[in-house]
Amino acid sequence: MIITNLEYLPGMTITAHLGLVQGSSVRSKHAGRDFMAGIKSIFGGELLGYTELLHESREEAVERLTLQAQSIGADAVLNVRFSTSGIAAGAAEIFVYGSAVSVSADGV
Amino acid sequence: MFDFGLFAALLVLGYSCGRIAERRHYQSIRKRESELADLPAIATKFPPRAGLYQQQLVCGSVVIGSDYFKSFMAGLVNLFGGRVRAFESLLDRGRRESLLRLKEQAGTVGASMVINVKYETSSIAAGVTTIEVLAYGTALTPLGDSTVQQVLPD
Amino acid sequence: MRYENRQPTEGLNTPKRHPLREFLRLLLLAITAVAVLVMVLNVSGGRLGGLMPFTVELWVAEKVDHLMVSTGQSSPFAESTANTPMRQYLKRLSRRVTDALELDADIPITLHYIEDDLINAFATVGGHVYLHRGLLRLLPHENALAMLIAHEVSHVSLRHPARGLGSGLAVAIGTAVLPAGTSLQGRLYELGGSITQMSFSRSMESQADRSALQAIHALYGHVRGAADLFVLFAAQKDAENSRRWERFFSTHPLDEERISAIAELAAASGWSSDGALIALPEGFSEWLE
Repeated sequence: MIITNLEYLPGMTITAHLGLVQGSSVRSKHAGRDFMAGIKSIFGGELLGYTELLHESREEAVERLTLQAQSIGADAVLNVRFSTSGIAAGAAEIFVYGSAVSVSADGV
Repeated sequence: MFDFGLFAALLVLGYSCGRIAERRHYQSIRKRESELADLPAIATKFPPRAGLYQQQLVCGSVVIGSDYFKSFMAGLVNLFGGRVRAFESLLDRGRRESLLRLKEQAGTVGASMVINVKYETSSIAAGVTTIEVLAYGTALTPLGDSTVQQVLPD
Repeated sequence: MRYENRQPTEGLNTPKRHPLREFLRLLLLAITAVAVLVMVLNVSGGRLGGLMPFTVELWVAEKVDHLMVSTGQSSPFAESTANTPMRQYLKRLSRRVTDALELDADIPITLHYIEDDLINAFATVGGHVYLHRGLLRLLPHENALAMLIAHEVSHVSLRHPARGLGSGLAVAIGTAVLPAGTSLQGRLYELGGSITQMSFSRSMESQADRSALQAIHALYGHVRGAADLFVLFAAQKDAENSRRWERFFSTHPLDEERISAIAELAAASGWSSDGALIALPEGFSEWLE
């Protein structure tokens, strides 16, 4: 499965557009992390706990996007975009979506 | 001690009503999705190479609120960290509903497809979790019958 | 180029899992975690509170007094100027009891006699002990009254009000700093707090009983009649039928438990439970009017 934010695939021809696919993941960190982040907000700087949280979420969202693409028999997902939103206090959603396509190698 | 009864009643009410509402919404979403299955919506920017189209921006948006049970669950999960499943279905419903509304709008202008679809999500109310999902894209309406043939070559 | 609109498999973004199971698991976890946290705060705050010198306690009492008076309420700590025979008698008896307790000279006890029908007595910060008329009315003899005073003064000498203050503050601060996110979480803290606080107080009551009994033995040479106060309580509560819940929610150990604990302690210490009971002074019942 090719996941890309390009609109095309170099060296390949898009044979069919199969529609939108998406993956999302909502997660929150435990209260201890929230507390540390609160303290950190006095001094500024990177909030490692949250960086990690969003990283995990993003991986899961991409995994779900891939599963959706596989379920409709796509070969690649083009023009992939990420969006992050704070849904509730301490919980964030990572959303990723793109266009599922079938491709064939050039020259075929 | 606090009023356990009221709290429990709100939880039960939130749980049952929330579940019924969610099941109904999903039924409606699935039904409309199959009705609109012949109107493709894609995320790439390029229109089909052949053919002339009239372009129009189309949007679909929906605001969905959480129920008491879901909110309480999210609060609990927030204590320990982890996946907030309660809100995942909320967002899934929001995404699909907004795309359906976008397609319905595109259908009324006679579009054959919607390209460059983008989503926008925001949490809009303080206190209770309320999300807005906006889907927008460019609807392409073919100009004339002859061009339609060229738009969708096999 | 073909354009299609295929539907991905349902539920990839929302894996099916019954929400109630997760709910129960998390709720149990949360209640346990909060109860443990509150218990730790309670105990450590209580320890710290017990460590603070009595002068700090006096200072707190003074501040509370100022606050109450400045907001137009009557001072809870001001000694009554009325010099009735009842007050004189209580003062004399409490002097004897504090002597028997070998109370530290730095800890002044201020006895307050409150003329209402509440069946209650309590001790609070700054060595202030309150006796309500309603409770005194039930007492059959001086030994029981001495036991009551000794019990309340023991709370002070064991620094229970200071420990209560310390744990109260620790719990309040600890739970305020924690992300209380929703008010629901706040309610959980409250729930965990009220349960552990009560059992904490119960152990204090037992300690005070023990110390008081020792004083009674020092004062009279025997402990007969010391438990009569609780016998009276037990008889009164038998009328009401709330036994099972009482055990869990009562701040004081159950009366029967106290009575048997007192008997056990007396037996273990070799204190005689035989001796003359001293009658309340003549005119006591008239003073109660």
